Amino acid sequence: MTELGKAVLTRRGCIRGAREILPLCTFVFVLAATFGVAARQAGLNVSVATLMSAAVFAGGAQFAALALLGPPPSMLPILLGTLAINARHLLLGAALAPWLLQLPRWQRLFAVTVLSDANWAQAMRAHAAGERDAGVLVGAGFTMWITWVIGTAAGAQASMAVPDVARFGLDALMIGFFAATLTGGWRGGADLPAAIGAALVTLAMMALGAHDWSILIGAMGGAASGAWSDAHTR
Amino acid sequence: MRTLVELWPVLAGMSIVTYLTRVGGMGIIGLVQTTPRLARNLQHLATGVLTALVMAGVRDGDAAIGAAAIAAIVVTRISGQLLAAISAAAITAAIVRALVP
Repeated sequence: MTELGKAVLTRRGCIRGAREILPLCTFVFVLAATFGVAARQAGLNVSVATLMSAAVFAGGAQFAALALLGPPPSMLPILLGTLAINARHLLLGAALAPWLLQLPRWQRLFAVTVLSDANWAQAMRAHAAGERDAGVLVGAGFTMWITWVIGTAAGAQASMAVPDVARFGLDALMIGFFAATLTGGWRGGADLPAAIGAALVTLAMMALGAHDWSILIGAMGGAASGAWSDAHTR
Repeated sequence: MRTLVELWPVLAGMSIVTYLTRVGGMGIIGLVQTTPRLARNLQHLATGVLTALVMAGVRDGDAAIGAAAIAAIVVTRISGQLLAAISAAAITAAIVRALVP
């Protein structure tokens, strides 16, 4: 490990990140294959489905876009939907900023190309444990990206029978990962207001039907409660 | 069959919008001065994102997903092992679904 405090981006870090994200990639692969099958059903050919996964690399937005592809494609709703579903990336990037902004410009612009929920959570956890190599974010992100692309191609090519994810509990891998990351980094009372605020606002947004915005607004509600509590204690 | 000739503007538009969301948060923070207070608030933001992801997943999922989230939390408290926690989540979900048809 490099000296504490100095941000770097190395190949060794990438390899560490790639290795650690592997268990989650089973779920990424199955989800990607499901997308591939759905894309074929929406009339996309194999190369377009695969290219979409390679270029966009954001599952929720890709599934949502399939419903709006027409013909002709409804461009504005597709782009607004993409923005709504992916706007939470803004928060992920903001949380990583103190770390990534220490990197040279091209490195940080490159590092965020594969920013996603799971590798973000893994990188935040590693950073809290003293990691300063942004390679963990990049390596994990590219591993997920490659899995996502290959899984899409496999699903679209074979229109293969996707295994019964639910039966084997594979659909619980991701939520288990987020719950474990939250718990692992838990600082007790200091984190409580942010967690309660985020939970309540997320549920409220979902109850109001603003599903696509619920994580973004919920997380902002959490940050606001945390800040409010800081200002009103002591 | 829909081809790239027809759909490339959709792919291009979606990838540009998505990249802007990926780079934008870092860009916004880059414009302001980092203070201890901002750092604290970003820490709260991270807690908020993780909580929101878990709550949205539990709310969307069935009882098995809820049980899986609890299993991951308990195993993390006991062992501190991430891999053990996500394995416990998957196994718990599978067991709950096998027991509750």
